[in-house]
Amino acid sequence: MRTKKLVLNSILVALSAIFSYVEAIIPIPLGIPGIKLGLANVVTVFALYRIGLSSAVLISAVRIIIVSALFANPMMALYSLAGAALSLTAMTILKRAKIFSIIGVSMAGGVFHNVGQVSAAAAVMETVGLFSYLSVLIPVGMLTGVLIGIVSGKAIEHIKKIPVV
Amino acid sequence: MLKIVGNDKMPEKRLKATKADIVLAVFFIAAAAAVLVWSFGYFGGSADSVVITAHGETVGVYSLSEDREIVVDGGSNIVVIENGAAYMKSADCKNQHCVLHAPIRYGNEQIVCLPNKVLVEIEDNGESEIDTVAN
Repeated sequence: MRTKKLVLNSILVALSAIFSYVEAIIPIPLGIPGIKLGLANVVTVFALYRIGLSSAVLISAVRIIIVSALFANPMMALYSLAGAALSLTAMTILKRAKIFSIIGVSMAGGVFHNVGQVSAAAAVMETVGLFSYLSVLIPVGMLTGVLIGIVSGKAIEHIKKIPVV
Repeated sequence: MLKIVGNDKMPEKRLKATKADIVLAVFFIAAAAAVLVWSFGYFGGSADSVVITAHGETVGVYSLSEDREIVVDGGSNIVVIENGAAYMKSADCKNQHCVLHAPIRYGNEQIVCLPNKVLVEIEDNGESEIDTVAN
């Protein structure tokens, strides 16, 4: 069972890394620096709902380290990890409240990912001015979070029919 | 067998927004609006100098009225001061967000190069723009 879980987690890390890579090579310029859909988070939300918190944490942490090492500046890994940590914390709390749908949970995940990243950047750069980006990044996080939530929900609906293990 | 947890009859699994989702969305929009209101007060004061910081250490404070070029951190970033505004002329990072940023000239406005940890920030001199105009 441990081996099966290890293999499943590894496959999901690979899948989410590919999602990140595809997004990195096909950037969608929206006029605001650093904004992207965050397709890899489909895997995180899927894992959170279907496997469990520990897998979701493991998958996003390993993915961020791999993707940052391959395609980005190591400083950026710190910001991503802060975003992912806050995002997963928020999603876990809301999911356990049992009154939010996967869309609401994912929406909060998107928002808190951005809040975490900006907070980490503001702490590193020692400037509060960066928080002004949140007036844009909160609505953007809501939008991307909702989209990710819908896609994840659809994935969960379909993948239950496939005997994964 | 790996246990696949949860079942689709649980309310939080349905692919449909709940009342709580809507309340949360309204809360987020209010938070974004609050940040926007704060930004209007924080930025835009009058200023006459710019501070450049790299890796948390001050590189220097420069007057905005004197045109010049500042090489930061052995050339990782080059800041230009021209016609009372500062902008990032070049950066060796991949995303180039700071280079694309519009020139800054008002209090607390900033250009950030996150990968290189370089911050270019206009020093707010405490006077509001209106007072300066009145003077």
